[in-house]
Amino acid sequence: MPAERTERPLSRTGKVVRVAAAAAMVLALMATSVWGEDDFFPFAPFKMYSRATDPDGWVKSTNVFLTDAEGERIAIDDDDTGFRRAELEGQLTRFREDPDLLAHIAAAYEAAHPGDPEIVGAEIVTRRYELVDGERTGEETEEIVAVWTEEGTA
Amino acid sequence: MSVRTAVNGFFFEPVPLGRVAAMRFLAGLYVWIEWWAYMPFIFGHRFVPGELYQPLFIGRVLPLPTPDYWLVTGTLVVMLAAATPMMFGYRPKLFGWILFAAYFEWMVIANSYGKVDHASFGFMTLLLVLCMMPSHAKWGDREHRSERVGWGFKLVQLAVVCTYFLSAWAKFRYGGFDWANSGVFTWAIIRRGTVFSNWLLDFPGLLHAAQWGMIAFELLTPVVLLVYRWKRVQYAIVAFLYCFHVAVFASLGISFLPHLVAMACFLPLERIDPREIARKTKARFTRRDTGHTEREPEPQFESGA
Repeated sequence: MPAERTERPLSRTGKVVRVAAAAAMVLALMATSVWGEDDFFPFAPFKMYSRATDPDGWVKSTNVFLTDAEGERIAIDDDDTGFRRAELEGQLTRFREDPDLLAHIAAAYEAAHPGDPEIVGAEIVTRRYELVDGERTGEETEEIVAVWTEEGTA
Repeated sequence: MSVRTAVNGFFFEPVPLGRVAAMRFLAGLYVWIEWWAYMPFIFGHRFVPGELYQPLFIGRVLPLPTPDYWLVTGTLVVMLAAATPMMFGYRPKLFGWILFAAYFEWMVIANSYGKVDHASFGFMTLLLVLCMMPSHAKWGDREHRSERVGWGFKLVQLAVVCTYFLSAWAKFRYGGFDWANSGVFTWAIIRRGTVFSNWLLDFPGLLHAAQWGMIAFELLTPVVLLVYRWKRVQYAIVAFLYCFHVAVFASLGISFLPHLVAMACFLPLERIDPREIARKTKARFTRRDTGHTEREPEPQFESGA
């Protein structure tokens, strides 16, 4: 076996420190998975698609629609503003309590689309789909979570 | 075998330096791809007003400024400027540390607006350990082996495995032990379905089974660490994991790309030597008439000796 070495072999202390560091990383990940929240990033529970969805219930999908000065309604996606749908959902209670925050999404859209007409209105719409046995029944509802218009008259 | 031998064998399995050069290249390449193709929203955050910034614990403890147009742009520029020399092995430790710091701030920018992503822990670990690995690592070097490098990549592998294993735990914690019987895949496909997955909505039984399969494989991932002495088995498991991600990408458009880059450190990338490949390709074209090809000795990877 041509296991050529050019480095000094690791000292006992060097090994202990390295094993301890690895153990600390794993323990920190485990601890934040058990008790922690996203706030402790980068040590955070790995909760990709971890929420269960009742196969006989409703699933929802939230979107922002903007209205520009020409009256056009724009369904925005994640790359339009830099503010993603998942981020919107994460802050949804804030938006529900203070719909004027939508002005910031409008501002982000305007900054990202400098040539386009001004944004004068925005709304957050949550659509819910009914499932039975995990299958869509075709039953849908729509809720307008927050509305903002340029004049602030909403 | 005593506990100490087992621990030493597990953590300090010598790994060839060629893999370090390859992983540096992959890490830098990913950084170059991420900002415009993979997660353009991070750079998009330069447009988002500071009122929507919700600092994480780390952002409240460290004096990290509220991102604005110039902070986001500046972080990106530093990141790319450091990734370039690092990926080609020029002062890779120095530029590696700069890249690690800039990428960390980049991740803070990415995750401080109401949603935290969980695909990059392994990649951040990779950037950190690459800073500590020898600067003279060359592509295709299978001769020089290092215990320090072995430990570094083991740390990344642990992070990768934790990502799977603990995500199963998170499903129990947030979804309940009945997660696998829920309609979560239906919901995911309604949200982000593609031509490859929308038809699945008509077969809820199949999605139900897939949810059980997912829990099972995530809980079994620690096996990939335990079989480190049996490289063929280990590579087969890693290949399965890559296939899983291809399937998820096809059906939901989610790819966990940084995680996939980090996972590459399981693979014998020291076998790749671009110079050797270029030389052979050239030789094939110039000496086609002789019909003679050089024989390479069989590579050996068992390090039990």
